[in-house]
Amino acid sequence: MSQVLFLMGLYGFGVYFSLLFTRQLAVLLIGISGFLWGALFWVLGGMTLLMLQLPYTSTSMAILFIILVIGISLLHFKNKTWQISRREMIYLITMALVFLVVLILASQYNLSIASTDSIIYIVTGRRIPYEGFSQSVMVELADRGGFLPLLQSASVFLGDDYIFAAQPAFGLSLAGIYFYLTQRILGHLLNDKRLALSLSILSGLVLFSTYFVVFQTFYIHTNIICAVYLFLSVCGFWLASVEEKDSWVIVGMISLLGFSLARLESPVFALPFLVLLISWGKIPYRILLVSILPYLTYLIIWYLYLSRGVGDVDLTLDQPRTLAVIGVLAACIILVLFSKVNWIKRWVLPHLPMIMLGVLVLVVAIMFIQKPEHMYTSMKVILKNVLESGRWGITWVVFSFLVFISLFWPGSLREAYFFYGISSFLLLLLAISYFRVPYRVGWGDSANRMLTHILPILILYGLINLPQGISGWGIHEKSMTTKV
Amino acid sequence: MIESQSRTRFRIIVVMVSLIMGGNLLFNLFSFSSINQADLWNLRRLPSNELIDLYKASSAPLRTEWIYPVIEDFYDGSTLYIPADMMDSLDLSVELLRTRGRLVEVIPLESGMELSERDIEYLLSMDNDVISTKNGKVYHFIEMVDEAAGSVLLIEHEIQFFFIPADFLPDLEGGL
Repeated sequence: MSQVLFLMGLYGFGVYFSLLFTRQLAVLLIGISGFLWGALFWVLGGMTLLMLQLPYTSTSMAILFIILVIGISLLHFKNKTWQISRREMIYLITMALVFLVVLILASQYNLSIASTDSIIYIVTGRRIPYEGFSQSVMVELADRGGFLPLLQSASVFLGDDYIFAAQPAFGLSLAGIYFYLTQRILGHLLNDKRLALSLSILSGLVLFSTYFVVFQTFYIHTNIICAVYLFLSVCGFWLASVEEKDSWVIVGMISLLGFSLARLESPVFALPFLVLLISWGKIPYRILLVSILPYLTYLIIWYLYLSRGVGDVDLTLDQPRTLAVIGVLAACIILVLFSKVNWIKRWVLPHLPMIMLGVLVLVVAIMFIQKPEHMYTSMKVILKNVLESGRWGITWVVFSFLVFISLFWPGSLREAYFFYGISSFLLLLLAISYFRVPYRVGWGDSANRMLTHILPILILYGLINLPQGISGWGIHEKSMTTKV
Repeated sequence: MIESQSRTRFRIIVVMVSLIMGGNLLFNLFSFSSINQADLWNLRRLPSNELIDLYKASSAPLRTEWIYPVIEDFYDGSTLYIPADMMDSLDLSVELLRTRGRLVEVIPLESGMELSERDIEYLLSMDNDVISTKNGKVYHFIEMVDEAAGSVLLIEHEIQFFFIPADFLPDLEGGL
C-alpha cells in the first residue's frame, strides 16, 4: 500500500507542477501526464542530492519535495494558475481515480517480468540509499543509465522489495498521452475532430494490443519509460510550432530530459529531434535558450560526473565515448547560442535536417565498409526481430508499409520533422551496433526493445501522411510541413 | 467536381487504412496468447510482491551482490553466524551484510556445522525459498518462525547453503 501512496504522491506532485502550464495546455493532458513529471522530479532530485554529496534519505527527499511544492505554489499565486474551473477539477479527479485504480490493480496482480538487467536495476537502486553514488554503483549507472535505479531506490524508503507498480504507471501514461496527442495532432491536419478521434482510438488499440508493448508495460526496464517521454517531447515540439504556444517547447524539453536520463545512449537519439526543433527557426530565441540550455547543461554535468566517478573501468560508456557525448551536447549548446545569427538562420538552419541525415547515412555507409559482416548481421537481426522474433506480431510490418507507400504517393506532402526524426533514429540504432557486439535474435535484444521508443511516433507519422497526402487538403498552414 | 472526387478518394483511403488497422488489431488479439506461451518470460501473475519471487520468475542466475536484499527480506534485524572460511568462498562482505542485508551483527565461527543426510532431507522437506547462483551454488532461505529469536546460522552442504534460523537447530542431529 505504501507503494501505491508513493506513486500517487508522485502523480499528485506532477499534476500540481504541470498546472503551471494550465493556460496553454489542456487540463486533460495535465491529468494524463502527472506521473511522468512526478517520477522525473524524484529522479532529478535524488540525482542532484547525490551529486552534491548531500544525504539521500526519505527525510531529505521529503524536505526537497516540500521546498519544490512551496516554490511551485508561489508561482501558482503569482501567475494565478491555481484557478481552474469546476469542470477541469472533475476531469483531474476522474483521472486521478483511474490512476489510483490501476496502481491498486498493479499491486494486487503483480505481472512484473524481470531479466538479469531488471534485477541489476533493482539491486543497484536498493544500494543507492545505503552507499550513495559509490564507485561500484556508478559503474552500474554508467552501464545502464540512472533513471530506473533512482526510481527503484525508493523501495528502500517504502519498505518494499522493489517498485513493481511503476512500469504499469508509465504504460498507462503512454496510453493516455498517445490517445490525447494523436487525436490533437490529427485534429489539426484533418479538420475533422470525429475522424481524428476515430483514427486515434483505432491506432491506439492496435498499439496497445501489440504483444510486445503490453509485455513491456510490465517488464522492469527502461523502454516503456523512454517511449512515453520521447513521444511526448516529439509531439510537444510539433505542437509548439503549430499552436505557437511556448509551453509545448518547455514540456517537450522536460520530457526529453526524462528520455535522455533513462538510457545511456538516449541523448544521442534525442539530439536529432533537438536539431530539428532548432532548425525550424520558428521557436522564439528566448524560449530556445530557457528550455534547451538547462537540458543540455544538466546532461553535460551528469555525464561528466559519471565519467569522473567510473574512472578507468571498461564499460559501455568508456572515457572517450563519454567525452564524445559531452562534445556533441556542447556543440548543440553552441548551435542554440548562434541560432540567432542572421546568416546561420538563413543559410545553415533550413538545411540542417538534410545535412544531419546525409552525415548519418555517410557514417553508417563507412561503418558498413569497415565492418561489413558485423553491420550486416545487426541489420539482418533488426529485420528478423521486426518480422518474426521480436514479439511484435504484424504491427511493424503494417505501419512500415503504410508509411512506405505514403512516401511515394504523388503530391504527398510529408511532415519533414517526423521523416527526419524517424530516419535518424533508425540510422542511429544501426550505427551504435558498430561500437558493440552485433545485435542478437530475440525479444530481449536491445535494438528490438529500443524500437518501442519510435513505434508510437511511426504510427502517428503513418496516420498523418496517408489522409493528408492523398486528399491534399486539411493541412494546417502553420505546420512545419515541407516537401522531403 | 474535383473536390467531390478528392473527398471520395479521401473516404476510400480512410476506410482502407481503418480496415488494415482493424486487421492488425484482430491479429494482435488472436495471436496474443500464443506469443505469451513462447518461452520463459511471459505475462503471468507473480505469487507475491517479494523480490525472491521476481528472482525466480526472471530465471536469471543469482549474483553474489543480489543476495543481500533477500537476506534483508528474510532476516532483517537478526544476527548471522557464519563460518569464517565461508565469507571468502561465497564472496560475502560483513559490511554489506550489515548495511544492505540489514543484519544487526555478523559473527564469524571457527568451524561450520555438519549436517546429516536426515537433516538435509528434513530441511529440504520444509517450505523454504531456494535460489541458485551463476556458479551453481544453491541458497535455501528458511523462514523464521519466531522472529524474536533473531539468530540465523549459515550451513554448507556440498553446493547447497542453508540459512537456518536458530529455533530450528534443536531439530537437527548434526553437530558443530
